[in-house]
Amino acid sequence: MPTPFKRLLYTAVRLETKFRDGSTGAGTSFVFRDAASPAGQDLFLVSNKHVVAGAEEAYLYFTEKGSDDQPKVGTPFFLQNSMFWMQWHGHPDVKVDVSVMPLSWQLDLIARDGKRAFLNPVTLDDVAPPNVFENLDVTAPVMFVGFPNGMFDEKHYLPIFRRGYVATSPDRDFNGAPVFLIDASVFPGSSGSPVFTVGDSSIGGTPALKLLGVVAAVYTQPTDGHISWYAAPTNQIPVPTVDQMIDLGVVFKARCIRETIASFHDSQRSKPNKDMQATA
Amino acid sequence: MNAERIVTVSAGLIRPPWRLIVQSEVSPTQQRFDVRRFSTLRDFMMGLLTILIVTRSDFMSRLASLETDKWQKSKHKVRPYVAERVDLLYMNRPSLEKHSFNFSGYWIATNLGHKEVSSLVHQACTAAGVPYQSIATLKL
Repeated sequence: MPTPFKRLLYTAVRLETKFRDGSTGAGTSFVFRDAASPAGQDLFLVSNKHVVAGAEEAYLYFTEKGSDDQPKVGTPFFLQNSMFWMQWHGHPDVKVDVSVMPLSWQLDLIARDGKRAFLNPVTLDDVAPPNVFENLDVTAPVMFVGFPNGMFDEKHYLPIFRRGYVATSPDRDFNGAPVFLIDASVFPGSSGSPVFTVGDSSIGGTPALKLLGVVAAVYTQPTDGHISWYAAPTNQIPVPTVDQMIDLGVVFKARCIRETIASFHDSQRSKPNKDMQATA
Repeated sequence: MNAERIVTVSAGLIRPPWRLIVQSEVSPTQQRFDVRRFSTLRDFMMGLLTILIVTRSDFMSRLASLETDKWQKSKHKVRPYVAERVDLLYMNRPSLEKHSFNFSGYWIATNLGHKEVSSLVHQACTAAGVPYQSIATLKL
């Protein structure tokens, strides 16, 4: 049985997306079990709006569950999804970069065909309650798991952990948005990564493995740099501007996930008709 | 596509957009979910038949045969919804033929209620040997 931290290897799900213009992307999502959702409809993928927006197709990577209920490491299977963007439901606030996708139905269907995924969903019990945000100190260590720059263990199909530190007061909404910053090496591909407490052993300290939120962005600083010198009629030198990452990641707080799932269920309830059973 | 095995077809047919989810096994390690929405029933049926026709070479003739059998055995079904001749779809009502379309040599009726469409989709999946279910049975 994997250790508690190693179980998080099976929480993150790699997303490889394809867009209409032929471009591709790689991002992170993670599995969340929402016990407040109807039975059998409680598994969701969580990621960012910007990761899935416009994605025509996507591949989701899972590790197969063996007959002994353990992960068959290195034996992945893929769920290919068309019209991927359509399956996601974004947080109702356009500025909150969190999106969820119902996953239970796909796992149910593949299970009928004999496939099972080894998953370690984040549960509501794993979500950091308000007192954890209050007690969590600035500079406290955090960790996140995902696919930075699209990288992963290509032999075992497992994600990569990184660590960082809380950079702004987590019990305050940074700049009025439901976010806090982390001092960490956040790269494209990390978007959608779940951020957890590392925990400390001091009395009254922070418990480990509490979900704090979802990585959504990294602060960058535009930097001028010279590519090359060359003679031109106007004697101009091309100077490219590149965005240099300054190791400050933006984390949407975990409460945004529940808000997004609640909004998803509201949207389902507001549909006037449910599809009827087959009548033939 | 031919190498793929269609595992299930699920359809949402109460009102537009008509929804279709096709689960296929691409390989032992890869399954695919094609999730589609159609604004017209004609497009829905075209999309479904295009997917199912690759399952077997006699798919359309099997579908037409199943439809004919059902029509002939039913006291309530007044016409088949798939036939080789368009006039069989709308007997004595040629003005309604504009509501049909031709697919691979067979005519398909589209002026149907959702129950009839569901029945036709069920027949098409039976002809293809593919399990069919309503989207309502999925925990979406």
